[in-house]
Amino acid sequence: MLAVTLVLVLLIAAVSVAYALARPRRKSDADRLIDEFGNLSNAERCEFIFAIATLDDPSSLRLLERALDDPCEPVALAAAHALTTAGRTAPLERFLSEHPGGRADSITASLELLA
Amino acid sequence: MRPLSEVFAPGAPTLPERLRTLVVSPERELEPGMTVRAAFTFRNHGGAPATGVQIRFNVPDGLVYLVGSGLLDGNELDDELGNSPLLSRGGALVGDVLPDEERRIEIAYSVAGAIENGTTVELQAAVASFELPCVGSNVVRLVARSKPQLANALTCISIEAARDAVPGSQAQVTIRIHNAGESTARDVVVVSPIPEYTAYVAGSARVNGREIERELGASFDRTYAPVVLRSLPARASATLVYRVAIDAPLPGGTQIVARAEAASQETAAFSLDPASLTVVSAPGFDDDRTSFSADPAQGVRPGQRIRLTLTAFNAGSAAAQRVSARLELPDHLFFVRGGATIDGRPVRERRKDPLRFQLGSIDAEQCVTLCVDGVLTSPLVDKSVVSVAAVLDWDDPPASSRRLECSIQVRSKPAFSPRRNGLTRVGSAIVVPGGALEAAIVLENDGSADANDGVLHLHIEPALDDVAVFESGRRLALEGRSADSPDTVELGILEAYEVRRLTIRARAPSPFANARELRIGASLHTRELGETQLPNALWRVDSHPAFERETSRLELGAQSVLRPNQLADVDVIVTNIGTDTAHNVSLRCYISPEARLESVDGATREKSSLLFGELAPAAHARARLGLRLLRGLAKDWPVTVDALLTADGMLPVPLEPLTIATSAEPDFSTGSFQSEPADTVDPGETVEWLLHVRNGGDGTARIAQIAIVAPESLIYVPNSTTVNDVPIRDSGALPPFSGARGIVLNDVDPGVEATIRWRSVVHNALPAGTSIAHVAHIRYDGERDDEIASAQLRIRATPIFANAIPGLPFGLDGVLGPALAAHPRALSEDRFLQLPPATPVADSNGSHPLAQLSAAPDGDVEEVRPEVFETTDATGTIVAFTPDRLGRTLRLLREARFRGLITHLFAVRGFLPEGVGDGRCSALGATRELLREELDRLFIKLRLPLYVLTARDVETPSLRSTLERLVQEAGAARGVPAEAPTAALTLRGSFDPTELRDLGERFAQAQLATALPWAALARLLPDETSACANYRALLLEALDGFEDSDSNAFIDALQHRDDSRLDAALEAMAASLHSMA
Repeated sequence: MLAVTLVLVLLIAAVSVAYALARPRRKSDADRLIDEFGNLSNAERCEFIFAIATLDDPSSLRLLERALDDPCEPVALAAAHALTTAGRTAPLERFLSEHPGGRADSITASLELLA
Repeated sequence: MRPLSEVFAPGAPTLPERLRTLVVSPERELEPGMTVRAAFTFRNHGGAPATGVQIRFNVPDGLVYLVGSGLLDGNELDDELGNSPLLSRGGALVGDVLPDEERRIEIAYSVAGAIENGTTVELQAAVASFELPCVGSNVVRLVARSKPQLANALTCISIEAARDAVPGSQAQVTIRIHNAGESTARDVVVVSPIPEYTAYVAGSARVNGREIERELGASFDRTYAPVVLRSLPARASATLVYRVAIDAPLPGGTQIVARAEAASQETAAFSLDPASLTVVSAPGFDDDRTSFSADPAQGVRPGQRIRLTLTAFNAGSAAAQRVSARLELPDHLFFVRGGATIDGRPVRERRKDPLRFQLGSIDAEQCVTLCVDGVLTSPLVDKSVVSVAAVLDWDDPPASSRRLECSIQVRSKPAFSPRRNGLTRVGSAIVVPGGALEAAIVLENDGSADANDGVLHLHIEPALDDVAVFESGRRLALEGRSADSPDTVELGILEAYEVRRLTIRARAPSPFANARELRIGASLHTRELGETQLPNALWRVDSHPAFERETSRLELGAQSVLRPNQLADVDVIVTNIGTDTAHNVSLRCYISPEARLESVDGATREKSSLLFGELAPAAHARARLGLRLLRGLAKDWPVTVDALLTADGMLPVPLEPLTIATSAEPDFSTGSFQSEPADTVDPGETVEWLLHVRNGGDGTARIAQIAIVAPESLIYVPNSTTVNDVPIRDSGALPPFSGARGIVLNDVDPGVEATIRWRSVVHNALPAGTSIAHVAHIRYDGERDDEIASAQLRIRATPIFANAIPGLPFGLDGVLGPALAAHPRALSEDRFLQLPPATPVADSNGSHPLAQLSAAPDGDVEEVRPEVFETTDATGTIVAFTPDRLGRTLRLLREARFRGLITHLFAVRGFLPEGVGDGRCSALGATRELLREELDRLFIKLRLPLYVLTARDVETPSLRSTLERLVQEAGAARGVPAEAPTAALTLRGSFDPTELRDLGERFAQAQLATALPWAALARLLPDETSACANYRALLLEALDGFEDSDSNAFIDALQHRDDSRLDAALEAMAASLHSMA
């Protein structure tokens, strides 16, 4: 009887360890936010940007910075506008300096227009 | 008769033989050397003495008188000087010969040594006297018998060379034929074959110096036995000489034997003793054809391959046997193994004694060429001469050798190749100002000669400090053209292959601009190479401005406490403690909302930011801010000034917040409490009370409770209390200010007035002269209690005795006076009027229909219109543009040209007024901000391809509520806004406030995202110019056209409905504004 109990205990312990190793990892909030963002359409991404524009948490800011490089220029413009409105111009200026070109010029001109 | 002296004269005939008394012995033949004796006897056969007898003998050729042999009668005759008188011309005087006296004369001769054979010798004597003629004796004839003798010691042959009997030289063969006999040798024949190893030199044969080949008719060497002499007299010699050329080559010691045989007619052939000549012959490498050379021999660089060529030419006459060459290479010249060739053929490699080469035998006039490659080692002194020797050895004669040398002139120079020489940076490429720089210089003379007078020129940024050069831990002296810029290091001699490592240390200047490059370069100058540039070492300066909270701060001025409406000076001190100039230094101030930044002195203000521009390192900037406390604050609510210092290229630095203690107290002690009528009132008359309370302090009253004790002499008119025309709820049957809390005002800012109106009716039972007074207590901030008392209102009552009133069919006691007949004052606010139903928009400027709606109580619109306009005052609006704002607005309108009417929402946003009426319209700013936020987002969204508008894009609940407030405030506004002093362009407009209020009252029922709010906003647009008025009219026409439409129709029109007329009007307005700007 004792032997059977021991075997059962060991079996349960082994299963627990296996589950602990195999269970899916939780993503961070920022990762989940970015994942969600990536699955949206252009218009939805724009809306998303405007929705989080007033948030001040790191994950939202990180997403805004990521969105500056969004393939859709209006989405990038929305992110730039959101950062500008929030007074966080440093990441925007850094992005514009690191990615010079027509798109950066267009974003800069649009921001000046909306200022 | 011939005298005696004439006889025996040469050529004279003999005397006639008269006496036969001459006897000669021998009688017939004689031989050379024989003694011939002659005896002559004569007698005086006469009779008389013969006196002066003289006797004479002849001396024939071939005989020689033997001295002392003359005898006369046996007596010697005295010779005179060796000559006998018998042989003299006069003869020997013998005296007188007596008759018959006989005399005997004897004489002896010796036969000469050389007398030709067969020669006849005739002897005769003659005697004479004075008395007798000369008488000759008989002639004795003797025949000589002799022969030549060629074979003698003097006949010989010899051969001798003119100089050395070397092969190729000439030798002379001399055959001497001597006739040692007594007679001539006839036809002397000499057989002299040309000696072996020689060759006859044509035309060289001579006999006694006379050429004989012409006589021989043939070449001498081809004639076997030529007659070289026809005769060779006795005792004579003849010499046959001819020259031969010695064959070449010939081994040394070769004997050239000259042989000859001679003969003549008289002499049989006999051989002469042969003569020999030993050939002197040897190989030789002495002339110039044996050479040793190097190619190249001039300007040879170390490491260069040199071909050494030894040409061994046997200029001797014999083959050289076992010739070997041995090279003597100096230490600076290395032999290249395997590259040696002899006559172009490679030499077998030998490990042992590789510099010795066996050349074998070299025949005379033969040449062997040995080629050997060598390489000059390095280093070598420039222009030095390297001597190379080759020793040629051969065996004949033994241990013969010749040493040949050649020299190689070295061209050597130092070199400082870029690969090995350089100036490299040590450590990071980023340096901070004041940081240490270190660069390593490696100087490696990888050339082949020393570099002299090495001087290292440093090219150092003048800004660098503490420049020092070290070598092996030792600091080198820096020199330079001037003491201020030492840049030269004397290095002296840099030996070949020597590595010198120098270290340059310097210190970056501080302060220094960011991203600037600091460069240290160097060049090496040597006497041989001149200037050799070394690469530069670069550093990039990582310099930034920096600000600290300790040195950049906000300081409060003299005032320690800030009171509302007071200016407080705040000093901003910004000090750049960094190492680089700070660009665009800006201080963003976050001032408590209760305070406002009024003035800035010392910096450029941009909104809430102070721009200091550039700030050099260690420099500071000071600005003075004037802060004005805007609103009254409760006590102990300080104003905080947060400042964030920013500049290009640095992290923002939040400064220590400045807390300014404020002192703000509300004060309601001043106010007015009036009544209408003011002084007297009839009983039963309605009195309108007007309590003006004003926060005359400088602080906001959070709660101000106004309590008024209603005297019993007054009867409150229910629902008549308004505060600033806003009706408030009664407290039961009591006025609201009589309740427990009274009238409560919240947040009463300084300067704000509150007007409390109410009506009360004077108790009609009051006696005349009764004074009525109200006392209002204003309690605020929990502890203050101010009191405002109204003026005394005295009851004016007259006695009335009658109780009958005209028109009243009965008498009535207690009737009041005529004051009661007056109409009570009614509240005239239009808002409490019953509004007529909405009517369609007419073709007008848009304001008329709404005005009609708001003002017309009933009836036909057209009929009441003039009345309405008479009763409705237009309210003015103003929108002021700075040039920048106008330009941005026009650009936005250009950029926001989308399809549909959506463009015109942006126009509403752009031209929304800043002032409405002569009062403050607080909702205007919020509306502008919200509109800007919404339309900015819409502007971005519309850039999405195929974006479909939604209701929330057009209007949100918060926007709706704000617009409601705006419409309410604008509807209540009166007058014209004041001129904006700083505007470059001001546009004014006017609208009917009643019309606007009517629109506002429909907001509650209106669906979101309909045209109604925009129609209301459009009425606020300017219409000062014709273009603006035209556009506003058309816009109102378009928006009012959606009065009965739902949001879907409006949204669809926003996105799809084009109105070219409206668009043109907008274009025209923009153009006119552009021209005005």
